[in-house]
Amino acid sequence: MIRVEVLGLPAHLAAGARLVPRLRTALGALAGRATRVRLRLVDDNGPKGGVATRCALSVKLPGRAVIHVEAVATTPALAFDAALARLERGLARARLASREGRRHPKKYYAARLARG
Amino acid sequence: MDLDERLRTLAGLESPGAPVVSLYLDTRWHDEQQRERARVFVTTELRRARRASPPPDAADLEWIEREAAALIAQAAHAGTHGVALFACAALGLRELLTVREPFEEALVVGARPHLRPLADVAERVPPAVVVFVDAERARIIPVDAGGPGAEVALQSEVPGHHRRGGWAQLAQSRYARHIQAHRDQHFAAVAGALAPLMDADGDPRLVLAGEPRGVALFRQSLPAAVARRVAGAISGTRHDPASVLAERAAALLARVEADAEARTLEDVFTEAAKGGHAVVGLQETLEALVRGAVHRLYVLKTFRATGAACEHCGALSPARLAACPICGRPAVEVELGETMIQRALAAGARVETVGEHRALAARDGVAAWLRYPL
Repeated sequence: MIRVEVLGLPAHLAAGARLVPRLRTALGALAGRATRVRLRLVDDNGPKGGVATRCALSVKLPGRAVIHVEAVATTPALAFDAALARLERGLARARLASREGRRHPKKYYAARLARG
Repeated sequence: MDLDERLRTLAGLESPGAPVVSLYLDTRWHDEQQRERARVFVTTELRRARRASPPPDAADLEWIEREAAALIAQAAHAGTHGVALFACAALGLRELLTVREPFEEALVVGARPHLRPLADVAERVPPAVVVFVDAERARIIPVDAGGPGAEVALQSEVPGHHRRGGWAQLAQSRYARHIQAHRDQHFAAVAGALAPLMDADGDPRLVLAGEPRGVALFRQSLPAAVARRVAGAISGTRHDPASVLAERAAALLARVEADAEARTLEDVFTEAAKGGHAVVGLQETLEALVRGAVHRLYVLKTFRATGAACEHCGALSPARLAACPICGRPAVEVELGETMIQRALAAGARVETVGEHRALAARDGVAAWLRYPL
């Protein structure tokens, strides 16, 4: 079960909590692998408005560096959409790297196989 | 997992060929002796099931044996307290349900799945949302019969108090107001995050956790519709595992449900005495079940009675009859408690298993709220 942490000013917390089901759906393929997901909503310029709502997503996978993406938009929902799209690309890249790593085993592994 | 949904589906099943095998296990094993007892129980009961008439499908018993062995070896579902297994090759049924409440161990072979223990747990453990809350953080944990669900942690980032100089800024009262204002905003945000969860199916209850003062303040900031669903408060800290909070919440909910059940049963007796939307007694409840009028069935936990069921018209009788009193076709002997629960669930009614109730025990141990007066 993935634990999702939502961080931000109180004004953004409820909006962030409403986005969690979509985040869980996007991370469905990682069920049982991702240990922690963090969603942070930050207002870059306070009450001024404009393109200043930042959404940051961090996914912690065991044995890998944290995958972190950010996007800025006018509302939390738009920023989340953009960040989620980036996260999906990041996860696809991580998957590809992991597969490539398995295709080209390290030398000690090949040597052990050769020794029988 | 929606346990009510699964119960309704299972209650509608009846095998045309080989019977359904139902196994219930209490999986709270603390040592090897307890696991060994479970192994002996499963082996003995499976041996008995193989000699049953008609015999269950060999593949069903093998599947049950394999799954039970994996459970006892704790190779699968290690964190659960109770497991129910249903297998029937004729229906294509292979079902494993895990719950956080222990079952009384039983293996039953019959034309339908044995559902009484599962219905009891579904009623005892209603869906709930546990919310731990303090001045800056909150943890929202949905809990159902399967145990704690996916947790969401909320953390409000409180901006620091600006140091702008001057005696007025150093006043302790201002600093206290600053903390209070952010705490109120945080509580409002958590209440806002809760609202969609409380609209979910199954009418979930709300259990608050945390320091008593914080919980009391949070309760005041809940919208009226959500505040009405608060079942109570439990103690808890930020670092308590979700399973611990869920266990405390389950104990509280069981107490609250028992109190509510006692109150409702009094209403049932009053309504039945007026001849309204309720019946009390075996004969009347059986009649209501046959007519599909039961909305909520109340059965004493100790209720056991043998009666007859007509396989043709579905009539139920409290007497052991060879022929149906309505259509005259042959009737079969059935255990009425299990049959009534299956009929009620299949008709979309809810089943409440009552622990102790003197008035209900005096009236055969069964009663029901009706959809319409008979």
